[in-house]
Amino acid sequence: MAYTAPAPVDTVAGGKSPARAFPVKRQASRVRRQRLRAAWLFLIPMLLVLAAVAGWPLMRTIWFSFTDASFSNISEYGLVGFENYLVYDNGAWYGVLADPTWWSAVWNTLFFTVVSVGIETVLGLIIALTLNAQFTGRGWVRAATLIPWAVPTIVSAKMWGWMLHDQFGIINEMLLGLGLIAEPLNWTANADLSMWAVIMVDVWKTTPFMALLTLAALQMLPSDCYEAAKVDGIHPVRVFFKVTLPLILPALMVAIIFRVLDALRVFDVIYVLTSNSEDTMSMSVYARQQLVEFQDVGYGSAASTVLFLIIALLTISYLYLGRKQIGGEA
Amino acid sequence: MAMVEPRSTKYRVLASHLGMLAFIVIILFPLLMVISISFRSGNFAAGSLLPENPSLEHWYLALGIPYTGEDGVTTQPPFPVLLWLWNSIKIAVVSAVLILALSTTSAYAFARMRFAGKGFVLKSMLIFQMFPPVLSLVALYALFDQIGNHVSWLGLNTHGAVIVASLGGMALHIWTIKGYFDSIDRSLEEAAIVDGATTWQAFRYILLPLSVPILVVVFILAFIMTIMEYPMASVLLVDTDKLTLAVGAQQYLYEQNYLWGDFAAAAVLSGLPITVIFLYCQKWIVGGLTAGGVKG
Repeated sequence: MAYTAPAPVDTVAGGKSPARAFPVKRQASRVRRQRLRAAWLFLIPMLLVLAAVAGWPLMRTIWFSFTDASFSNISEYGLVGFENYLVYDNGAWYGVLADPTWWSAVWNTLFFTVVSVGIETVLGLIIALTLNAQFTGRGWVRAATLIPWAVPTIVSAKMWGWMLHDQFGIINEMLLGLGLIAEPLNWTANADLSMWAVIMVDVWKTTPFMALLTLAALQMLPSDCYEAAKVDGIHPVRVFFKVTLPLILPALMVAIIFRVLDALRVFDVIYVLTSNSEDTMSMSVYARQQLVEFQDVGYGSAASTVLFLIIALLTISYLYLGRKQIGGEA
Repeated sequence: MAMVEPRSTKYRVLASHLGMLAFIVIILFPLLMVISISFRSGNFAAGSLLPENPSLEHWYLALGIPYTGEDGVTTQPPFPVLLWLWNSIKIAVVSAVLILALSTTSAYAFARMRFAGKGFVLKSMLIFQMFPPVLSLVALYALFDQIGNHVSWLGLNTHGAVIVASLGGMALHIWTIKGYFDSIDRSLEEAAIVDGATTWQAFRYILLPLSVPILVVVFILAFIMTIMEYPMASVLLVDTDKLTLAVGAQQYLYEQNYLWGDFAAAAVLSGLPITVIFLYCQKWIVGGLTAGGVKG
């Protein structure tokens, strides 16, 4: 939005502003000075809180990533430069960037993000399209869809961990009963299956949210294009790809981006289901393991910093590319 | 509307109903299992969906009532589940109110006021937000440990610390509310200011009443985020009677001794507050997310 005064005719409000008054210049500048003072009054409480609980932990992490601090004695440490990131010593490379486990965590996180957000988007779209049709009991169906999202992740992940249990899990019992598998599968420990088990649980949990956001966008669509398409006898599939999809794309993109940024930080689903297994370890799980279990604050902080840089770069490029959709004046 | 419905419509409606039904079954199946376990006697995970020996033992224990079994043995409730639920609700409500107050006022400044560095502050907030909460745990633990030496209700093992820590997720809400404010015609407020209203009055009496839908949405989202939060609360809270339900429910699951029945009852209780809120506020959630989502 432009911040020039007088404001341009607002397109959103339809430009109907009976109370529009054009103050004389002197009054306008007094108003502006008064606003400048008020602006900081409005902002300072929020900025203080964010600086303490969001800014400080980040700065401290970046600082510790250049030290050899350890958990047992966190007040005594020395600066080590970039040694935690990458160092060449005695003919071999060390540091986060030289650790194959870190790169496998990066790969796991990217794989998890692309596959789970992809499935959630497509499923969410299908569900939203169905929910958008008029039928009796729609309100109840919509509420039921949202329930998986309403259960705390930690609780639902435990629940799934038990349903996927290799000995007495209900999933194995059902698949055995149907004759689809010959012997119980170890869903969360088998290297080929565990990532898919994690993705399945995440899809179960998050698809409803994607469906809700898509549904919200669908309900904003003008009905006249559909009536026109109906009169012209155009096939519904074609209408979807030529009319619906382009119209909801901006809203869908916002939802997808926020989900992607969320998925890149994934922690609890993976940690509860498969603990520190390397087959499914995400970047957050890796950093936490170094930090808390191995007590290596310097190294863990370096991993956290790299993780933060990756996500920050994605966020910045999104803000840059998508400035038309988000914010407006950015 | 067309007077003659094509015949294929009937089948399509039938098919979509069947599809919807299958979908709901898949979504709800795990939850039905949990509910079923909570009514099953003993702590066995496997079994049929309809409990063979229905029993209220886990619910008695979850609601804090001692349970006397058929064998005459009385079990005392092992954990104060209702107290945990109350703690969760208390923390979530206070934190949602604070988030709402702080993010509404700052969103107003971002949407309506002109000052140097505005775009920079807005964007840095969003980027700071991208640091995974799990990884700031150590730093926040140290922070609240220090604060606790001076302000006792904000130290470790207090609800105050959990509430303040939950405020860190505010940036997204500020963006959402700002997007909504941007879509409201500003000439009303300008007219009021010209007529002698202060900035605060213009904000409080003109803009706020127009923004109720988005404020409801942000309140609910903030409430949900806090009530579901696990890593932070599990590190900051220690005493059994201070835990939130999401943290406390884990106490039923020791290594080798999983009290599934009691856990299931607690899990059902933990989903309850949000489900109730959803049923009440669905309309606003869908409407408000639309407004916030499209504008950013």
